Amino acid sequence: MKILLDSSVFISFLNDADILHNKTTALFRTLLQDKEVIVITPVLVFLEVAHILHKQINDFDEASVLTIFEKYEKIDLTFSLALEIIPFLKKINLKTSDAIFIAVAKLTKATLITWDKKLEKEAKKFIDVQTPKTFLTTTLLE
Amino acid sequence: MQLQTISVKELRNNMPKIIKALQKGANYTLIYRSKPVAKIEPVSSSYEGLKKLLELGPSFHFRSKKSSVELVREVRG
Repeated sequence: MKILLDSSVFISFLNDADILHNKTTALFRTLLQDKEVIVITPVLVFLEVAHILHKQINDFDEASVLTIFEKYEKIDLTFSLALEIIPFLKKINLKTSDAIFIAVAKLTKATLITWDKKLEKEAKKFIDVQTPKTFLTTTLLE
Repeated sequence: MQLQTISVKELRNNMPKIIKALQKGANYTLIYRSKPVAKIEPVSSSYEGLKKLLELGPSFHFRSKKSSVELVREVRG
């Protein structure tokens, strides 16, 4: 099974004060035990996470975070991928970055995992999408 | 990627080729004296990434009153 983790999932893990932090941590710990799951990471996720960490942490070391994202199946935004994404953009009623995540999940046949209700609602029209909580309880622990 | 069977002799004689295939996602069942004795499969790259993420020290964690969705929305626009 392939899953695309939205930036909101990584950030809720890194923000210890986030109300969803414990649920996200539980998801990551369970994913670690499940060798069938492949994590897909568009380069946009890395950029968004790095951008937020730069704002939140003094002397943030981006090289160390890069080593984590390097391990996942990365999806680079290339010109040829952009040509495949463009047809989705006019169908998806969201901003460009949101639409890119939905399109990449569709093209890679991945389940989108996000805490963002707005993204979830629109993504449901095109792909399988779940919150970390539902994915953990209905898919991983079933 | 299809599951393939491989003998100890084949494994020994074709190690570089098999390692390349494993890196591309191949899985093998190792046969010894006509019986399957082990599975050889690639280490999940997702596993390594998740392991590193969970091992991140406190210097990568922060505390914000804003939710993760709000923080992402700020940079996503």
